[in-house]
Amino acid sequence: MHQENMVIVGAGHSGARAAQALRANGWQERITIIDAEGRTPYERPPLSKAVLKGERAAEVAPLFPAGYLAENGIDFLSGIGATAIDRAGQRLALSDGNTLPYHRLLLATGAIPRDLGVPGRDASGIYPLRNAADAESIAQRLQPGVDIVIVGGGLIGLEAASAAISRGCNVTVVEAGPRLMMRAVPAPLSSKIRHHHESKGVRFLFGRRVVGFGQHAGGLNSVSLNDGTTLTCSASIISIGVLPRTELAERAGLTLDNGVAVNCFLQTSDPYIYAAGDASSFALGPGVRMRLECWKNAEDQGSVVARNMMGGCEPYLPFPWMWSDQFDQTMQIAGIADGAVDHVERQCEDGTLLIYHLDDAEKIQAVSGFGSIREVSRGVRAGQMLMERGLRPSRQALQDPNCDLRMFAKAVVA
Amino acid sequence: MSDTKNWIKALDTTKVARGDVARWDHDGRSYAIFRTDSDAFYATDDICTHEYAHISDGYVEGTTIECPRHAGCFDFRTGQALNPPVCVNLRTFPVKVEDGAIYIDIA
Ligand SMILES: Cc1cc2nc3c(=O)[nH]c(=O)nc-3n(C[C@H](O)[C@H](O)[C@H](O)COP(=O)(O)OP(=O)(O)OC[C@H]3O[C@@H](n4cnc5c(N)ncnc54)[C@H](O)[C@@H]3O)c2cc1C
Ligand code: FES
Repeated sequence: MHQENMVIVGAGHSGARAAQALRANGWQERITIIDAEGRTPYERPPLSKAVLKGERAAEVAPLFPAGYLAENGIDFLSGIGATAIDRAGQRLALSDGNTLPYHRLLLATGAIPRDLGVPGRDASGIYPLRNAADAESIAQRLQPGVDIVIVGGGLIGLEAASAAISRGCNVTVVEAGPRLMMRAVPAPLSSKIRHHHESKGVRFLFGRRVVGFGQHAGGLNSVSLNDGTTLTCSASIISIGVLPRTELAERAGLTLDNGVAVNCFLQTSDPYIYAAGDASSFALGPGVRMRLECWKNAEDQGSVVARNMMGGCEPYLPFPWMWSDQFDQTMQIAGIADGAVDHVERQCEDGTLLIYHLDDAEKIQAVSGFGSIREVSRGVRAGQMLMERGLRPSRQALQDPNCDLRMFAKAVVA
Repeated sequence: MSDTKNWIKALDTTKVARGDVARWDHDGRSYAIFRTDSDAFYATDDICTHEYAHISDGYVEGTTIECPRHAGCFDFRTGQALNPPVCVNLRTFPVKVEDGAIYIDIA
């Protein structure tokens, strides 16, 4: 009997979640997931945390519970790449020479790390950090007393620095910008993060670029910077951001705009093809596009896209939120600070710093925090709740660590 | 009395605010004790079933507790895991309140 097939390219977080949501929402015909990586689908966040620290293997954080794919009749083509889309014929070509007809196609192709095109890049011991194999190779290099150079002071670089220090390495982070996590967090928070890392032994070099890698017998032995400095090291991690993986969409002639462009229903310029996760840039409003690279976005888009592939028209409303673990501290960011004109700092007794970003009408646009899991999560969660309900507590209330912000929501409900 | 449970005195009720949660450590384990806005008490394991976090550090809303680490939610009355990344339920324990103290059967 002929069955319609929902085909998903990419078994990362958004693709896996979409497959589960298709079944959970009652799709009874075929579902096929294709992933070139050849691994049991896994969560990426632990890679730069527990996996680098050597505390556990990547597959210990699987995306599907054991037995789920078989029990739910989902075909998983592992280790096979999707190579081309025949849009007129609604067929997907695969690297093993087969083609698959699709009813709807989901591009959940994720992102690839940006690379550094500098001399010596081919030396062994230089790694990006995106997948399980990268994390496993790096973890083997993180031996006590070894010199490690991390290029890029963003979230992944800082998590890698924290893991490397915990394993006894000597760590230098080279950052081209003037401070850490420029795009993601405000200056007071980035300086707090910097001091915490320095107190644990991380060395930072700001405003400098890598211009070359030195090697001996094919293995990395130094990193050269544009100010003439040479750093001796035996391994280097390149964490300078990612690019959306759009090659399949591009070859098929789909509209791109900093990722595979989708409308608010996560539909590409071809109505039979959808995109979700790190690869997609979605319409927020007329002329406004956004691409998010975080777990929560992959999670939420995975569910929404599944319902829309089944014929729904549910607009995707982003509630950006992300976390990061560095040493014994945690960081969380929620909302979008772009429209903010001012911020209020909340300094908690245990040293946690929370920052609420306000627009010109004193409404909270975003909140970020670094410190203990308890204060960070409570402060950020309260901020999210105030944002969702459009509530505007006074600046004094936001600033005062003894003021329980949840009472504002309760006052409204009561 | 027909009370066959193995009640252990945990916290005074004053230690748990309405609409909130408190942590109670006993014999090498941590428990989360909840008090609803309408003064009902519940107890669960305090360690999240996903990775590792004390859920008593998290955020209570109604009868849900949200894990502070990755925002997985549980219904603290039943322990039911409500949304990813949590998928394994939390263990719950019987609770009673007597003379201003909370008792838990941790057997
Ligand atoms: C080291 C690391 C740490 C992170 N930590 C955090 C964190 O703490 N908090 C947070 O919020 N977010 C974190 N993230 C981000 C989060 O993991 C990503 O946002 C999420 O994985 C995106 O999911 P995705 O499904 O869009 O893409 P991916 O997870 O990248 O999956 C895409 C998949 O598609 C496959 N694929 C691509 N093209 C093809 C093709 N043509 N044929 C077949 N298969 C293909 C790839 O093999 C890949 O498996 C982290 C990411 C990394 C790499
Ligand atoms: S540790 Fe609780 S949700 Fe991950």
